[in-house]
Amino acid sequence: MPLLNVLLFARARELAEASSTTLTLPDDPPASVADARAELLTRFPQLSGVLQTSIFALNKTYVKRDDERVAIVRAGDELAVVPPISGG
Amino acid sequence: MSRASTWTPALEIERDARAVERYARHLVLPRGAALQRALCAARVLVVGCGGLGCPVATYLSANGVGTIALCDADDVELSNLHRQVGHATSKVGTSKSASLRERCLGLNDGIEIIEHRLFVNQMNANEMVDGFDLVCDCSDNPRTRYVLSDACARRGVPLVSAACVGFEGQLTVLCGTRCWDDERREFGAFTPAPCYRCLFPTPPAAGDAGTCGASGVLGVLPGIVGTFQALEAIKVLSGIGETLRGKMVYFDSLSASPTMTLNMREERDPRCACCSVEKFDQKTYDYDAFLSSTPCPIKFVKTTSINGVDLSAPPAHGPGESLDEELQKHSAWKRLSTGDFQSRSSSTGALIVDVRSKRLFDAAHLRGSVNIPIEMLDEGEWRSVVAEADANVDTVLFVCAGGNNSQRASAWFANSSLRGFRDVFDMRGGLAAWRRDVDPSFPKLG
Ligand SMILES: [Zn+2]
Repeated sequence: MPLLNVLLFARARELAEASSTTLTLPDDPPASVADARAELLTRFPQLSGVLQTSIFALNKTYVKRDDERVAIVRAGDELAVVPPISGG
Repeated sequence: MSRASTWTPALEIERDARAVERYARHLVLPRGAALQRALCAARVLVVGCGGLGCPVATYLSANGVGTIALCDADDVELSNLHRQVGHATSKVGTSKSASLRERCLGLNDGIEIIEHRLFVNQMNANEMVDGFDLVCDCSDNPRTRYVLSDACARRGVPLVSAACVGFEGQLTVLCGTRCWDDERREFGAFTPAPCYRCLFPTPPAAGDAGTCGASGVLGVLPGIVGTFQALEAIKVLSGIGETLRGKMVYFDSLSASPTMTLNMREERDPRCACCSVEKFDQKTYDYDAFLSSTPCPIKFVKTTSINGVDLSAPPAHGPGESLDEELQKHSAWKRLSTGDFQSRSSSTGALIVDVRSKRLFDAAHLRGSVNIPIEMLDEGEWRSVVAEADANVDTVLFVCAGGNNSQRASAWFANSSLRGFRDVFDMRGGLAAWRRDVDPSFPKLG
């Protein structure tokens, strides 16, 4: 069961009231970033809006929305959830 | 007695000892003369003269960027000064772009500063960015960010985009790059890069946008991120070092390792609605529809649509009267002027409910008002906040910062089972209008 470290930023951090969290995901078949997204939403339903607009970066590399199903998550990986911010 | 020059300068821009002396610490750097020639030749547009615009414009001025255009239609406000260090206290109430221009020319009188006392919008964006070698996005709202990026992507102008809110900031290079060719003494060819839409194809929902007015910002943060942004502009223009093209720096003030660099996409998104379509007509593009395409995650809004009026839609242009007309047709509640609100609120049985965030409420609120932040508003929350006083309340008065969320709250309440026989009102223009009409000492918090 891979443990995925999730880093939450900006509005996601505010709504989840946490700057990081750990997700346990199945390894057979191996979990993808799309599974992590779904699990995150189950854990934090209040993130429904902000997850739609956020960048997902797996081990500091951007995952294209189309690639979320094929981007496999391994134990110890780190997923950053980066919402757009607008202030200046 | 005429004095012939006895020396050859590194800079051709100005046969002036002052320029060589002013930039002396640049000129002795490795590749410093080429760097300085790039900066002196560069034309940079700075959009927004606030927290980011101040450090960007002051550093680029001091560093000798030849022409800088400053763009902002706002006036300096007292609540800006804790972070917008380009503006003096004496400038409160005067134009931001003029104030910052004066500050920049004070730092360097050998450059040109153009002042645009206006906001970038979809009608003027193309003309605004044309002719610049680089644009710095120092704006404070999603609409301007998309409009500016769309224009830069289409017109082929590099965009250094920074943003910050709360304790966090982000910085990246978008749309493309074009750097100085010192042999030819001109800026070289444009190489496209992803635009803001390629990274963020889905706009934030209203309330999730992360703006400083609503969420606050640590004063020093835009100073750091904006200075970082100026550095990035210098790197892109001069071609020194490694830029943030295809990368994003995320800055987390509260962390002991505050910067994180993310690898972003390198290529434009082939499905991007702006940079990958053959025709994109910015002037007719429906930004309102695009920016309201992400539903508002506010709890009560999910079920609240009154006769086809979608309450989750964000107001078209900030605080205003956008929802007013359609909702009023159904007269589920009444809107009051500030004066009428004041007299209604003084009667016994009147309850003022302030739907701003708790932090704004705690900063200053109307005497006797209670706070239920709009995203918390539901029947359970109402009962727990209003508690035993509830039975004696015959008049409910909603108030917010600018008069939009108070309408949403009124619409929700007037259609909920809590209403009973109560009169429901909200205050037109919110606390901004209260400050204007009733009590000028009420602090401006936005
Ligand atoms: Zn694009």
